[in-house]
Amino acid sequence: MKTKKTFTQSINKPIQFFMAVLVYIAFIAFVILRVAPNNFSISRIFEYSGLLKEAFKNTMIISLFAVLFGTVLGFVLYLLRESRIYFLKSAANIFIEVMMGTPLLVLVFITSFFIGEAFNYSEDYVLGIIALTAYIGPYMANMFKGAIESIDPQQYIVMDLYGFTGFQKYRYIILPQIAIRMMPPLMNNLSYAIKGSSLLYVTAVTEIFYAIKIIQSKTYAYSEGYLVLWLAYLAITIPLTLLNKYIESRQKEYEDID
Amino acid sequence: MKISIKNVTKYYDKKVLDDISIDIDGYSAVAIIGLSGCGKSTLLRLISGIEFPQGGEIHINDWKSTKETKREYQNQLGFVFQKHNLFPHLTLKQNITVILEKVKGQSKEEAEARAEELLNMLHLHDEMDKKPAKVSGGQAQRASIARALSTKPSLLIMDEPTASLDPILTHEVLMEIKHLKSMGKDFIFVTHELNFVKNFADYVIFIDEGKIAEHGETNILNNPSTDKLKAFMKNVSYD
Repeated sequence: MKTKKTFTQSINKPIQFFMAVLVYIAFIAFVILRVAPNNFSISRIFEYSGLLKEAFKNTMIISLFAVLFGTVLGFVLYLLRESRIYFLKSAANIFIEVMMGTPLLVLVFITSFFIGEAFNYSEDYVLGIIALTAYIGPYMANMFKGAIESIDPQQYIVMDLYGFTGFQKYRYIILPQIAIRMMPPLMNNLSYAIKGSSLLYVTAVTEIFYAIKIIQSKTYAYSEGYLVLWLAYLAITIPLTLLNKYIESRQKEYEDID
Repeated sequence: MKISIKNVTKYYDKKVLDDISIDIDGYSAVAIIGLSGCGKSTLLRLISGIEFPQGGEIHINDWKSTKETKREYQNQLGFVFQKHNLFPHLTLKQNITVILEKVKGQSKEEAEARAEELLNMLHLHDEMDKKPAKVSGGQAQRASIARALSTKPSLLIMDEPTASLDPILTHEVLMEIKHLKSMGKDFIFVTHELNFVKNFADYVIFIDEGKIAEHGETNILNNPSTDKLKAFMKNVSYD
């Protein structure tokens, strides 16, 4: 139920929000003053802004590709798991269980240092994207399962009666309906991918974390480096969260069915 | 319309239809009635070719319902369900054109013209570009009737087409169904609306505990000859 906001209530909210932000800033300032009291200067980091930009771009590209391929992999895993051929079903199930139980850092190591090595392939960017894709795929498979199962079974009866082929069912009826439902998990996974891509620094991929490490070793501006690093991730993930909230509110409107 | 059902038996965990046989010819609206759980909806699903009996045969006109002929058999039929079952992400018009254009391979123009013609006929001119959630239950059900007619079936199968509607919307849907009958369509349907059966059906099949307890032209409802139909009429008559 909506009640009309009074003037004090409406002005209170932003102020209270700002106060909450201040508490955190104060805490961070306290830590910085304790650790690096004398020579704190963010500008030292931005002497290398070219490298930072490059790294920022790489992080975004790697994450976007990982989510894109991860979504495709997730859909394929979903289809395999629904397969009547037990071999395919098992293959998908084993992949999903193993990947969900593996820490991303381990996956990055294995992909780059062993699997890449075995195939004489050493393009660390691509191997990094493969590792992230393999990590995200199983989660997307579960998202597809949930979204597709939320479709009323009666719709399948209707599709059968009118002679839809398997492809036509997915192309015209199922995927368009779940597309909007899939957006929030997709955004969440993009956020995971961006954060997870920081682990690729172990294989010397020039993403944000790796770039900051380099800058720190050159400038000795350690606390500044971590602060910039942290803010850089937040600068990407917070807008994503806001976008996600917006999409969810639109989705509610869309699914407002009597 | 000709209906020929020979020794049809259907069981899931227990027997639902027990050796049912009936031959009728020359009626255009056949109602299947009975208490909940008597097997009438199962019989309708078998007639629809959605499921198949463990024993016996079903012929409608010259079409035989078997697993092998399912596609051709169902092409002759139109289906209206208890819920409208429209695809929620498509407009009323797209609910029809997706079938005609994408599945049946008609041209876009042909499919749209047919969809508009049908939706106009069912008085949905102003609603055809709305999604199912944005129209009333009666309008959605009328759109599902339009969709059922889109493939030009001569026979419509209806499973409680008004069960989820209030009395006013029920009336609105039933008027359209009557209109279709006057245009020469045939119907096989299950319903709880006894008044509609009396007004609309010309043949009634009364099912009780998986068997046909009584059948005949609609006036058997006024003069039931079996105790079971007598009891049924006494229990369900609201008027």
